[in-house]
Amino acid sequence: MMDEVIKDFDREKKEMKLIDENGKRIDGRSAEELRPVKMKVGVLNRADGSAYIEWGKNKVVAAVYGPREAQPRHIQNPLKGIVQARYNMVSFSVTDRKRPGPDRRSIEISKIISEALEAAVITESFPRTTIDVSMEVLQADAGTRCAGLTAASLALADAGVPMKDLVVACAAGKVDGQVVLDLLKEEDNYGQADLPVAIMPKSEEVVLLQMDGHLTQEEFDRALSMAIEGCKKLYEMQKEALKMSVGGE
Amino acid sequence: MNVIPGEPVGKSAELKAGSGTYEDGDSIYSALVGFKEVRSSYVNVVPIKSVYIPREGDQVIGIVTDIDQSLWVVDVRAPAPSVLHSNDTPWKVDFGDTGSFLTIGDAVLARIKSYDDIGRIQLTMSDRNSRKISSGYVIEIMTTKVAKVIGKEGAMVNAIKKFTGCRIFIGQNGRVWIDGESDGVSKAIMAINKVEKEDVNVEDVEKLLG
Repeated sequence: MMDEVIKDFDREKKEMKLIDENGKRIDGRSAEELRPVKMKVGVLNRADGSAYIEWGKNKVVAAVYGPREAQPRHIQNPLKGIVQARYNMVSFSVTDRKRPGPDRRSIEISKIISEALEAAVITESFPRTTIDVSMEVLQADAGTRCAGLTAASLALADAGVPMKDLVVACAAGKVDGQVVLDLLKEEDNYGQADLPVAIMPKSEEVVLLQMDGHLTQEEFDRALSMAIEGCKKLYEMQKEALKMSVGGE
Repeated sequence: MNVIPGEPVGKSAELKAGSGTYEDGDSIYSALVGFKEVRSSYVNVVPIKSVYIPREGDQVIGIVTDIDQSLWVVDVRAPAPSVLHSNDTPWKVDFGDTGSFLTIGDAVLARIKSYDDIGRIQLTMSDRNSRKISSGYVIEIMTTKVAKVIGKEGAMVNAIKKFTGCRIFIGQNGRVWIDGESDGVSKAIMAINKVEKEDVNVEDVEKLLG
């Protein structure tokens, strides 16, 4: 019985085509195309800085508070400030209700996003302080950590936190044996690999790199350079969103 | 011309990195979202929004958040809490008697005595302008709009004072103290918020209040 179910599932997996004969993906994109992205800076009044991003079907709000005194005191660093990011998915962000609160996955994402942002923020200017970044995923469709990080860096810039550069993130992956940019939910679920990358675009320094699945060395190199190209496109959009927020005032 | 973090603002051979910028290799880059400004040999970026960065000598409005035997901890909207020691006040404070002079929630007009490299802030009240605030209202504005609300040689704030009959003091940390008749105070708050958020000049404010 169980064997049959697994066999059925395997067959279904094989039959599910994520890339058609013309090289088009299920949403009509080519292999190197990003989903449509919209960014807006300064969307919340109460936070020191904020940003909102719509990336395909992903919707994420990011807010920044601080720099302010780090509490409890033992987390303070007397030489520099710290960045504490919190990534959270709201219960209605996915099709099956997500049980609210931090879980293994969101704790991990919060940690890596904190570290990615800390690389860009000039923390030495604010010893003993914390800069709190909060990201709420309102709707998820694969690639929320990239969307969250991209929005968080805009929110930091909006808050007037000094940074060496913005941080921008984008994923690449492997679907139907082919390396593609910016996976959506079905591609992430049924594809072979996902590779989120975050960089500081000026220096192309990588501040976040994860891999889920398997890639050969050649595929990895190709996916990495593809993700970096994607990041650069997103960086142009970030620039525009920030300049809009300046002009709007 | 406005710039964003990471955008080049000059070459280090020609200019020096001023506030809101950093040097990397042979170029100077912006660290903030703001406006590029070249003053003498320095290139600065004036931020659009910013936390209050204390400077020695700044007149600020602080709110007492904690009391100790010989000092008060005061919030001045800076990245760190500031300390007002009883020796830096005009009063003769006995050890352990700090609470009878200022208590938690009190607002004070004070001056930044020092702001050191590790982010510690000390306040002083031993000058003529400093005192405890015992009447009126304190509102908050963006720290980057303080200069605009004060105006050239105080033109803007003087106009608001004249037309509302209020006493107004603007702290460098973006806290504004307003005292007077309630009509005047509400008019003054409205005018200050307008100056902070919109592009208005002194004449506009006079017309609005007059």
